[in-house]
Amino acid sequence: MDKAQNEKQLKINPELFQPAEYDPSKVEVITRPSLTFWKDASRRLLQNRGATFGLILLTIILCFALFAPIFSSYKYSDQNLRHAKLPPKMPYIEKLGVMDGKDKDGFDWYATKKVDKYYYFGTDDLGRDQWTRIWTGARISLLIGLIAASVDLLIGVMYGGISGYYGGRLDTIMQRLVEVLMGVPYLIVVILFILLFEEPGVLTISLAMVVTGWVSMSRVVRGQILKLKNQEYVLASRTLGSPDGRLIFKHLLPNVMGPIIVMTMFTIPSAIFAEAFLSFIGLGIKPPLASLGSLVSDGYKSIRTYPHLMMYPALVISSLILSFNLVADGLRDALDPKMRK
Amino acid sequence: MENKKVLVEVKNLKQYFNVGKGNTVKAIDDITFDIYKGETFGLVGESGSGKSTTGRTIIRLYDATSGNVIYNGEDVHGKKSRAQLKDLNRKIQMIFQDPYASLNPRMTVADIIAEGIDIHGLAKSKEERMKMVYDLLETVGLNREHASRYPHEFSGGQRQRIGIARALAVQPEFIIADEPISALDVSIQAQVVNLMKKLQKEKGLTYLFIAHDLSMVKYISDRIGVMHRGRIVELANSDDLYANPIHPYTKSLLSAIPLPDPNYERNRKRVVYDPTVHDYSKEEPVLREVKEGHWVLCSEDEFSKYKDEYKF
Repeated sequence: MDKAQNEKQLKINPELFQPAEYDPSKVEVITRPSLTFWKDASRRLLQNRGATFGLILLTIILCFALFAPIFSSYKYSDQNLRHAKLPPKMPYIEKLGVMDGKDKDGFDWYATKKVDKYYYFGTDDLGRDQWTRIWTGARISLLIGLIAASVDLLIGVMYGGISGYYGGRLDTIMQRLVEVLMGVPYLIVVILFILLFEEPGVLTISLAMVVTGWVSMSRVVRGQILKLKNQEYVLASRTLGSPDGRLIFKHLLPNVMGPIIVMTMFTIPSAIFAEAFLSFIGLGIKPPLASLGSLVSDGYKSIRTYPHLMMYPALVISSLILSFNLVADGLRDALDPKMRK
Repeated sequence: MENKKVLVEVKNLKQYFNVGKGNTVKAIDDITFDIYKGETFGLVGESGSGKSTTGRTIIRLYDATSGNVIYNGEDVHGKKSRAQLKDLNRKIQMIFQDPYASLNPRMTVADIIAEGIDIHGLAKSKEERMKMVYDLLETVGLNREHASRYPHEFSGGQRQRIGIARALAVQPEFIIADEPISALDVSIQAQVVNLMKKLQKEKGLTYLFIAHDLSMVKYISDRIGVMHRGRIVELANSDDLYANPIHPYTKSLLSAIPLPDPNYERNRKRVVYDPTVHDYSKEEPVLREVKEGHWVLCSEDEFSKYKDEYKF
């Protein structure tokens, strides 16, 4: 095929072409909207269905824990032996055939005992309102979680940060100390504090957490700092004459924030669970104060006759821990730069 | 070259790692060279030959094991007051190798560039600071709108230019460029190198240019030092070094440069460097001036041999 034929066939001629517009000042323009790291992360978090569900569940539990005891007409310690061991009864929902004041055999205790009040989650063997007690207990659990998170953030981050940043002999000494602390079982520490304060409670649990709870966080932070402190942007900042404080707060900590948040979110449920466990074996919260763990422990004794006493606190504690874990999982994915699309 | 002022003197610099732990690494082993004001000094060598360590030791990122770095008559290492250190930090700056690792992903471009301005208090007001940032962005060929963006939104070449703008923010005299173009693709390499050349002309900068791309080093450098295993084996004007390589290692390096010419490539003979050709059992080799301005690491015997060979 000769050239003329070829051109004819393709029907290409110079008039079809126009010079492209070339403006050197426009070459570098970025059209994508500017997204900060946190905007990007929250967008990815909300795309994760599990995490969104966890977030909603967590908000609901948080609201109930905050407001249910306030708006309840009973106090968590109010006893009314005449109303003991009533099954749950909730307005409106009772019409559906559940939570209608009847026990498992279909016997209506509210009518028998002539009780015209509603006990949403029933009452325990001393006639205390289970609804109020559960949400008060959830408050205790959340408080423990909050203390655990603060201990992690304050002591764990600081300890790990100092150990990783300064390195050398200081790092060696601090890490040996951590290894010693890791070897001490949490239960032993709790028992020691109970001996010291003569009675168990929120204080002993939190103090035991202050002693050992921050260890894993400090390790994570130390590892991250060790990795980051030789990054070129940190070196660049050092060559510009940054003081240590600026390096730590402007360059290192913002970049460790992701793992720190994820770690905290995993610490909270494990602390709540630890408290529940301690309360269950009788080393936690003392009555009349209730925690979710102690409620489960009490309800467990009469599980065959009054299943509601154990079922509801167990349900609340499970959903609380589940929601925290779901959110933590979602956060871990959202904050991981490798997940960025 | 003789009447030029020496800006940086590196004297018997040694940098050992893990001293006394049984696995001592001699990253830099007794090197000596001068850098003149306004020139570009190229430092080449294979991976692990100590090029980057040299750059980092000069700027005090590492504490030298022994030896001195004298900048403008002042020792860079040793005890210093905060004010002296700040002064040095302003005069000596560095451009890093990896454009992806050298910018903090959590800071905006404006904050990254203004970091030096903030540390040294160079701007009196917020407006002045932003104006300086905009000027720097335009100097390196970026737009004002880029100031509020984050590093991950930029390409490698753009990021490297942000790194250059950050170094320029404190108005340095001497810039250590630690393989600034190795991580970029070829078309962008030219862009960055030409920007560096332009800036040198405009601001009278002095460069220590560390690289392993020999053709690029030849293009930008006035003088070149060849490093091998922590020592400088040959130091000469760049044209001289390429025309008359003396040390066998330099010959080996030069023989490895590929040319976009298939005929040449088919017949190219790769010279392999064999360190056993040197007999250093009797004496330690030192840098000797084989020809004016052309130094080679050699023993006394080799020195006379090289001189004969090249009839200088």
